[in-house]
Amino acid sequence: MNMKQGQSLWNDAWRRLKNNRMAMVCLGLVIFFTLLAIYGEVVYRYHEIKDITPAYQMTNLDQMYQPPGSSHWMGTDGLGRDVMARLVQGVRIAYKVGIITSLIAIPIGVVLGCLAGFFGGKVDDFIVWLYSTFASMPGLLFILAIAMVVPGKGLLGVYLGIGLTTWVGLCRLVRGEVMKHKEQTYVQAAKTLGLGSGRIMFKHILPNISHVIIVTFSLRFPAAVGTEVIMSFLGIGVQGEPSWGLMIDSARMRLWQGMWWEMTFVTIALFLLVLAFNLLGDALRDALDPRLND
Amino acid sequence: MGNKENILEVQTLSVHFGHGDGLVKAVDEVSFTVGRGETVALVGESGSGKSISALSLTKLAPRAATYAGGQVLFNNENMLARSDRELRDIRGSQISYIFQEPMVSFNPVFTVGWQIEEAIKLHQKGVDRKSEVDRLLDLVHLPNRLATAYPHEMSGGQLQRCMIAMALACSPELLVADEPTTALDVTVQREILNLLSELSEKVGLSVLMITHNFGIVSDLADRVYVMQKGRIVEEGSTKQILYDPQHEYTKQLMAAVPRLHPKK
Repeated sequence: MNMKQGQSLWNDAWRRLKNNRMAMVCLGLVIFFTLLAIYGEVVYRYHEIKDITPAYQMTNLDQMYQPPGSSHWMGTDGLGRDVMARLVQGVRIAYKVGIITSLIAIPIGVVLGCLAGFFGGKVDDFIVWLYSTFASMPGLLFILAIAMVVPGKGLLGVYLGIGLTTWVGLCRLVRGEVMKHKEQTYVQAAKTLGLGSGRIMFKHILPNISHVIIVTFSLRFPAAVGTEVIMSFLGIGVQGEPSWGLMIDSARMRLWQGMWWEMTFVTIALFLLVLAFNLLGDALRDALDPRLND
Repeated sequence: MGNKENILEVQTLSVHFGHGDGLVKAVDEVSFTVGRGETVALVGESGSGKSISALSLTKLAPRAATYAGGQVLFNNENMLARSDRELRDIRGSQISYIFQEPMVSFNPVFTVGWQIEEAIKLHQKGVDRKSEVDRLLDLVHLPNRLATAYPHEMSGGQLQRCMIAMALACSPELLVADEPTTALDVTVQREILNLLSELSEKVGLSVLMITHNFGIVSDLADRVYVMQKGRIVEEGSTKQILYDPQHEYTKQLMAAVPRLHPKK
């Protein structure tokens, strides 16, 4: 046992994570996808500033439906655009939708869930009423309404729409976990030491239920990409920019004609991203629980 | 009002649960005192109201409880009239608790060193926390390296020692020990009790010991209160109670201590 104190939870978690080879592979994949997303954003901004059409948007009708080959590694789509370039560009949208909506939804769900579970009574009643109200409305309608209200075009409305409607499930989970934990003796012991409610909730109980949040985060990615497909289809989501949702949607029509490559590569990319996030989330959950391994 | 010699003076304290027909008088006009440096035991079977009395000292009884009457004078100030904010400053720094089950009294995801530091951080500013943790672990006779251990890696006895270290982190004046040895096996019980009596002498700590076990009382306590159904039925010095119990219930409790060689 080596001597260290202080930020021991995260230090120890990292040490355990490093010993898990699968988790490291997944972490590598996540970093790879993150770099692709950043690259995509840079390419997008560059072309926007220069006001030129980026290569992944160039239609080239001589090269429609090229199968994968040396000039187009993943083939071309119905407008002769390179699938690989569009795939890389799609990572950017998937990341934006997945991460930004999580950044909105997860804090709301966690904070409200903690408050409801910890204080109970009137606070709990109010929060349960609030999330029941949200849960009773069809999510898509709500997202549409928010997207309409938010000024300006673009993805902001989509982020807010998805973010403000998908915290309910997490809130319910966190509320239940906090209710379970607040009855435990260690919380009582923390109270007798004179700790305030906020500190008990967020510093002592929250690390014990972090697995709920991590798993929720890793499961949000496929859901967010799915929602983005529907919204693009309805015409309020991504317009013009290549997204995985749009690509799957258009590739679906041509699959029966034998144009398998667009669908295949997009779904492989989606599969890898989701798998990497899920496995990494799982491993992180295990690493954060000092009782599981050491 | 209160006596200067008494650090804690509980006067006709009543704590009730429910109301109307369902009213339960968990603590019913209970009065007791703890002198400075004294160890006082509150003895009774489970459900007799002793734990609720102890938690009520800093208003920590479960939310459903109502403080129906009486007062708790700690250093001649009524605790029940204090605000939550003021009570938080008193908890841990002036009145500390240790509990029955050391195994579940620690947060499972943090090292015990971290948790002892947390107690120090809360009430003492500007001390070197690392060396303070080492000092506290020394005080309870644990090796310093255990500061980096997680609760699940330690034994019940070690954890109870850590619990005591944590309770003593801010040099409280009163330690409330709620059945501190019940969950431990007998040889470890002995060690913990020795430690407590050693500490009460060394640090000049006043201890309110809550137990159902007269075996513990005889070793440790200066005075004893016997509680039954929310009321104090007998009080006196330990000797007096042990050798000449007056109340029928006290006799029953003493008879309930298991003996190795029961008298025929």
